[in-house]
Amino acid sequence: MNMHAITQQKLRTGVVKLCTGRMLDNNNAHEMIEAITNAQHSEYKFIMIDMSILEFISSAGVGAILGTVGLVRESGGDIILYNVSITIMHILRVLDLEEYFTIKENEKEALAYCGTAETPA
Amino acid sequence: MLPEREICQAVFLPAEATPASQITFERDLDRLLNVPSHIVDVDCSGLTRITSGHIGILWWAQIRCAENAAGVRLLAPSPGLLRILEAMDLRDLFRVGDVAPNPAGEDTIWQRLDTLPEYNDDYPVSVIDIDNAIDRLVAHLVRAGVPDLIVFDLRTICYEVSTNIRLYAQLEDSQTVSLNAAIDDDKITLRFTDSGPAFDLTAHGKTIDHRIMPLNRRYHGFGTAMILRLSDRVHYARADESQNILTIEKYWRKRP
Repeated sequence: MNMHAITQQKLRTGVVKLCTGRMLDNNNAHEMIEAITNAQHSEYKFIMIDMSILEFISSAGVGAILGTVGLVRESGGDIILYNVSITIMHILRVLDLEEYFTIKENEKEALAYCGTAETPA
Repeated sequence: MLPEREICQAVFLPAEATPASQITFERDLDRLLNVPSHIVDVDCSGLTRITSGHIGILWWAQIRCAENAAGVRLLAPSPGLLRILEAMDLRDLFRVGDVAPNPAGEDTIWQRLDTLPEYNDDYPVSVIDIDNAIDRLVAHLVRAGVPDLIVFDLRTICYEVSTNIRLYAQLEDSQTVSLNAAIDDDKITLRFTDSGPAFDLTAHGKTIDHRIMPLNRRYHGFGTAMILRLSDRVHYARADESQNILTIEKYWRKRP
């Protein structure tokens, strides 16, 4: 199994799910940036990132999400992190990003957030 | 008859934090809270693996009990659970009963430390060599009985320092980074030595301006802040005008 693979799945109109591999570091941070940017270009407003199997995130991995979230929010959407493990949450907390990022417990809550955060056209 | 404030009741923290077990826990806790009580005991003895779901259950229990003017006491929490609560600044919210014995045994840890050989590693800074070096360091720390969360922090520090050297020190293929790890009673010291151009990591701040970074579409540049934030003390020295020596200290426990 590729530890760095990032997969994509459409959940519903305007909402896409990206699943990280076990690692998000310098080796695949650019792929995460590409995946988020491509999703946005494909008219997905909400990008949900499933971190359930993520074991390690480096500064480059955090930077890939942090550097793209502004663009997504500017267009009325958001990046939602969910299934975040205790250790990954610890890193986000150390970096003071726990409040800045939208973090949900599980996919159901993340999807619900996409529904309530969506503004009528 | 016990005085009222001594009345205690117990509810079991489920081994697996599934939606079904959470519902059962909440129902059991609410049933106990129907009876006047100042302390609700949460029995943690069945816990073999700690997940964010367990922390969520304990957090919910604490709020629910506080609403009913009761406190939560953890029975037989593992040292690992207490460490996680401490790392998340939640430890003080709970009273703690008897702590479950550490499977490794406290004395064993100290005996192990006394006999542990000094750790020295020299590795080239290719991606694969860095990964292998981190695996060796982690194995050493685990062997020494260092707690998981501290191992995770040191692994991250080692990755960030080594990657910085790989990206910026312009080392030849034959040149290596030297890593020395010393585990003392109360702290772990990592010393990285490389022969790249002078780079004082401590001159950089801990600040991460997460409001500005997204506006500037900035993806990199806070690895140094991450290292500084994960460490308790960082010292830099330039030796013989040719070597960077970065010393990082991380406190991990107090010797009993």
